[in-house]
Amino acid sequence: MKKNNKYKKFNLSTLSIHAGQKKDKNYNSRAVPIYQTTSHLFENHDEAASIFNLDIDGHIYSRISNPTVSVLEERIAALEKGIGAICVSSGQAALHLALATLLNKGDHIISSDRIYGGSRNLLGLTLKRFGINTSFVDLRNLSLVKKNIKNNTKIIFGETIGNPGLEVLNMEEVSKICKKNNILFMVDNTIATPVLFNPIDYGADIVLHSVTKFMGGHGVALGGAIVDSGNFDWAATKKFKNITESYSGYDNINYLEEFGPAAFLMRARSEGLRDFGAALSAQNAFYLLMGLETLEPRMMKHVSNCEYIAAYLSGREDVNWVSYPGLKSHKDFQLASKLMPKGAGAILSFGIKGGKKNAIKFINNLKLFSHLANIGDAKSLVIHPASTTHAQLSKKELQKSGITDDLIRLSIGIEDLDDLIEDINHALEKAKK
Amino acid sequence: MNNSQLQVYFKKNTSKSPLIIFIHGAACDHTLWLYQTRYFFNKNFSVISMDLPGHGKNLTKPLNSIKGLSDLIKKLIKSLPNKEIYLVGHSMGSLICLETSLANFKEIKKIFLIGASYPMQVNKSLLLKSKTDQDLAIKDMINWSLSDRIKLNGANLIGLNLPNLINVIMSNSRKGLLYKNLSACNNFILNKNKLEEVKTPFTIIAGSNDIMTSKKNSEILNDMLFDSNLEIINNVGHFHPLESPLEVNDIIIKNL
Repeated sequence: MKKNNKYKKFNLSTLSIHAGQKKDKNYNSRAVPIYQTTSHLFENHDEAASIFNLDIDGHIYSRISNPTVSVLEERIAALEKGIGAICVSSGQAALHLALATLLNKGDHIISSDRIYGGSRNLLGLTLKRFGINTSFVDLRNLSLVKKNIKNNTKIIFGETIGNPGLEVLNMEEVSKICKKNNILFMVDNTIATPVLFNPIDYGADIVLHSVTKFMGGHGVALGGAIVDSGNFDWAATKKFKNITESYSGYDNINYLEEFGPAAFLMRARSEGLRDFGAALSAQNAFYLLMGLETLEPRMMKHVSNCEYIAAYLSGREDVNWVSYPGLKSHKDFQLASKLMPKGAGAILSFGIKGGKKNAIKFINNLKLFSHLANIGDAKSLVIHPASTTHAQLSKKELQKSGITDDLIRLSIGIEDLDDLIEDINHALEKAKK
Repeated sequence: MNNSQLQVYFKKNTSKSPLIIFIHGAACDHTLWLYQTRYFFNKNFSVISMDLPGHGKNLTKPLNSIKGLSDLIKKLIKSLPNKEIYLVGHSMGSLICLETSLANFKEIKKIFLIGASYPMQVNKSLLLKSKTDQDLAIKDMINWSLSDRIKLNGANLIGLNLPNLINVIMSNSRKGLLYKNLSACNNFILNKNKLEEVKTPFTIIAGSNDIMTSKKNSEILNDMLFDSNLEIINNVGHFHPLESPLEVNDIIIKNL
């Protein structure tokens, strides 16, 4: 199933440093210039009219596009092997923009029930108010997935590595179900990053990222990305009328007829970014580009640290269980080994003996780990999801999502491994007392 | 618009509007012209783009020869009421335009040949690969067609990745189509006696970095034609309409 991409002359590390950046014709700036501007001058009225009318490409207003943001978009598209990307102000904005561009009242989504709490809230509650319903199912249970497909099911959504449960999405099998039923397959690849996994190679139609996390890696800027594979056959399925039918917003434009494989991205930009305004600032795009430059070496260090810490925790008597797809004990170990041979990310969760009480004591006694609601920073991070990131879920939903009271989520950074082990050991010993 | 073997996309302005017909190249389809069709339509032209047989959404049987494809274009032109028509062809599409020019339609006021050469000899290893492994041959074509600058730093298309976009367009081709297309280009023989009678003016658009149809070969073709001028776009490879849409559009406007 993996597609051959031999025409790509440049490899990931090179692309993560150079892709998308054209030569600065004015000042030969080596770094990507920060175009800190709201608006862009037109050469003449004719050009202005043509850009506004989507006849030609061009920057108008930084809510819709910006040259610094475009470099980030093209870089992420290159890394994820997509035909293009749109970057927005956060990962949640990316999910919202993608869904709002494609769906209408009455449409139905099947989502993994093991996803980030914010995404679950958007799908399960917020979109429901607008008439878009979601069935949450365990995507491992393929017969349940098939059983939940309805005539109005447009999208199957999952995370390539689930947050915080770290379930690995069975891309090939879910993709087959999508293809057979003309359903668009949308995945969030935030935890894996394109260094460890390219979902488009395994049948994903649209890939989302919270660039805030490992892609940026520094925890100083929020950002999100939508990458289109260009492979979904909009015309054949005719399920997405926003793409295949006339839109009065631009004088009855038919996006598919006008822009072919780029139809979804063009509509998302010209309607979604314009209407909803979740624009990424040039300054944040610059920070995120700086992070991307070191993505591969950082991910390798993240992964090697995490693999060791997962094994270390597994051997401790004060730990009930450890969930990390790189461990043989993880139910998705085989799948992770196949899909992500370079490593299964740098997030792990574990259950501490003594439940919530000891979990809180452990967190309070960590010195090197930062207690905060984020993942994918160069710094190691820790949180207790049941009382924070997923606190809005009901007990039943928490149980279904695999978020128990004893669960602690660690995002392993790139500090010295011995220092991290010492910190964990110290906090675990303190928690026991 | 139905034209039996052609899948035609017709954007009609007024019946008196000049008409531009865009003809794509090997293994491509009408989306090659995504930065031209809307632009010229909104400049008050009527615009036709198409999927040739076996290309894109056109499921009819692919044709083996440039002459056969040209016959479809001639049939299309005869069916149209327009009195002012411009042909624009890219790569294989430029050969279709050349063959069509021999019919000396009085309605055709100008022909634009983009990424054009005559003869259009196809690299033997590419031809063989297109027969044995179309996907790989497409990737080779993209690799040779686009400059390193575009493959690494990107094209001037906001948020888009050109190599991957072209790959998606070309990968929609039916199995075996690329070999038929490249063979058709390789085997095409232009009737030079008839060509001498062609009075339609031509503009040839070449890319300075094009190694599929080189600037040098475009110059040779330019010298062969009775009334022709050559426009060269710097730092552009073989996919001119997507690599450098603004320049292509400007050159067409300037030379109408």
